[in-house]
Amino acid sequence: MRHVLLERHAGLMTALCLITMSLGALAQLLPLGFQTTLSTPSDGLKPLDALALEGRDIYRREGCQQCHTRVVRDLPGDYARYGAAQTSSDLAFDRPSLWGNARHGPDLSRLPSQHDEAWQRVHLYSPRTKVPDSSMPGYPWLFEQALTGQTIAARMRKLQALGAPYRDDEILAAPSKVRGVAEATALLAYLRHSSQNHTSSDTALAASGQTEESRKQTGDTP
Amino acid sequence: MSTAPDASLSHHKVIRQLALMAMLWGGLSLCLAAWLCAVRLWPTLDLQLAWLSYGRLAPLQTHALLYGLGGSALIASIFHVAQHTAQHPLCSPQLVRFALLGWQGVIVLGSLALMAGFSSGHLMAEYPWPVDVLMTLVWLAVSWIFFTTLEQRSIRRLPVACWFIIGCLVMVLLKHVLASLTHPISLVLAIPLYTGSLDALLQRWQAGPLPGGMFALGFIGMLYHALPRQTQRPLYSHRLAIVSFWSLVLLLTWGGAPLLFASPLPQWSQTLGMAMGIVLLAPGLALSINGLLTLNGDWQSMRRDPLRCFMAAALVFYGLAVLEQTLLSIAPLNALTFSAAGSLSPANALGAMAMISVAMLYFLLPYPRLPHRFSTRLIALHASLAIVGTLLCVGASWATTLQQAEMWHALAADGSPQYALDEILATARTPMLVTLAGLSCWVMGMLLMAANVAQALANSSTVRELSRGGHPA
Repeated sequence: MRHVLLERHAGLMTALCLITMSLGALAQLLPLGFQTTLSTPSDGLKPLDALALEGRDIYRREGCQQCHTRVVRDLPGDYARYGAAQTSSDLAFDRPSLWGNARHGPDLSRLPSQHDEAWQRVHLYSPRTKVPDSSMPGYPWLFEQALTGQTIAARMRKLQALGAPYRDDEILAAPSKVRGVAEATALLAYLRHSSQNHTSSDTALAASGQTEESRKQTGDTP
Repeated sequence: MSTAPDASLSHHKVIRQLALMAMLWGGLSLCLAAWLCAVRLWPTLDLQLAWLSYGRLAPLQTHALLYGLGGSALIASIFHVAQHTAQHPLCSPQLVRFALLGWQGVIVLGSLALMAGFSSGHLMAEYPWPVDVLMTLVWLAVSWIFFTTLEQRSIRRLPVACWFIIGCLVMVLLKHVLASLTHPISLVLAIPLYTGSLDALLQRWQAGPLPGGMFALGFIGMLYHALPRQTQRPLYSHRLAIVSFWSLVLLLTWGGAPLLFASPLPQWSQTLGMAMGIVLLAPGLALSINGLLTLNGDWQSMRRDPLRCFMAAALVFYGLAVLEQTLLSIAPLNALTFSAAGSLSPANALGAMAMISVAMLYFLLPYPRLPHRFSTRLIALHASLAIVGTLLCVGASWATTLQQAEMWHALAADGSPQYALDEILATARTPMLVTLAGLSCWVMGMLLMAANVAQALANSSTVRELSRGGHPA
């Protein structure tokens, strides 16, 4: 048995482990890294503006991805509810990708259009006044805290360096644009942002919206 | 195979401290899991505090279980195996201390960061980048200690446990470093190097397809060290261990893609990952069976030695988790189940990972000065509580997944979804009560363990005082 040779030399075994593991990693990851269609944004895809970018940070900070997904899969139950599935190029500016892992609530790629901003705000503040059976926690502090806009310029500049088409004047104006805005407003701006919505088929959205939300509406005035 | 403790071996204190911390993190994390389950059942329990909201505590809980319990137990076992194989104290005591404190620092700082909201957003690796750096340093230190100590060995051939630990260390460093490369913006904020689909794949690649994610090899290494010693029998098949070890090393880094079925990830990548995920069944089950056959059907001895029972249960759940992951790799099943399935299922997290770790703690803690001072009856009770708890959680998780999957994809004749979302989510309520019961069993088990260990430590200090020349009153 030649394996004895490996069993005698820890260094040799380490090297062989590293080589063997890299095989899998290289075969799967390298082509993806160099596949240009993956990172080329689709036509008309706009990066998140300053406010939505701050909103994305709040989405990540509050761990929304623990219960919500933000990717529509190419499966019947998904596109019947949330419209067409995204492609890799629709998500080209997703850093990090917040696709989520489990659905303890709806997918958040596209907010249903029949709820207006006011409904969403009340729901975010205290979900059970709008949806009695909801197990979502309330987020009152998002309404008390305001954005400072401290890191937004640095973040946008880094994203610009990584390929997001921000203009320099946009970046310069960003801190003053977001300063003082309530965090809840930013979060909703992110959820409503069109970057993930533009491939959606409106008919499917409308159809899913009616069936899904018809039971939930228990008075629409905040 | 002799298990006689060698008096010249040192650093048992560090191993014991790591083991005690693992126990503490495990207990805390399981309590937190029960609390989070209760909050989802009765949302009015939520405290409405930003620091303690569900979205921030949920990753804290999984990380405390994986890194706190699993990681601490793993490092303790690595030190123990190194010492035991080399029959030599651990090299570089400063590094050993750094590894102990550094790892606890990782979990404390990481948990505080998650509570403050500085999450990196990566599945199962949500600690912010400075903590990731500290984690890398600790793993480098552990590797250095392991390899330099092994160099002191007199018997040249490395035992099976050592290969798995070598594989684990390489895997952890490879996956951890590759997947958490970022551009730091501030001390708590970073923008990951990868984008979109590639980032999503890397996240799942790191979380891993086998029980314990990137620690998978290490957990099996721990058992393959402890099991032969506990049963006084050599591992059933050396040859099977070789085959399954190398196929695992080859296949583990292909995983991740099976969790992304029907997603924007390119089709070839999904298909390739799926094929590899299915092939992974063979070495996974081989590992479990090799361990179980080591027990050699000696079920009578399990009644006398509950620790064997613990290890056997961990191996069975390991096999179950492998089976579950393989089923999830099959496209149509994945299509049905992904929406309710998490990356760490109960069979995986509690059954395989936590149970192996806890069994290792019972194995490591008495070593070498407290032989047979644990109450066997309490260990037996803990083992049965853990098994019942895991079975309840696994059953609940499968019930939810299957039921929700069917409802999620049921379409009415006109193509609109047949069930509303709240109907689908409501089906999870009863299984969640069962999960809560299962988690409570686990929490009770950990409390029993704490009592058992405290009792044994108190006894041992009395014995030490007596041997120092004191007289019993």
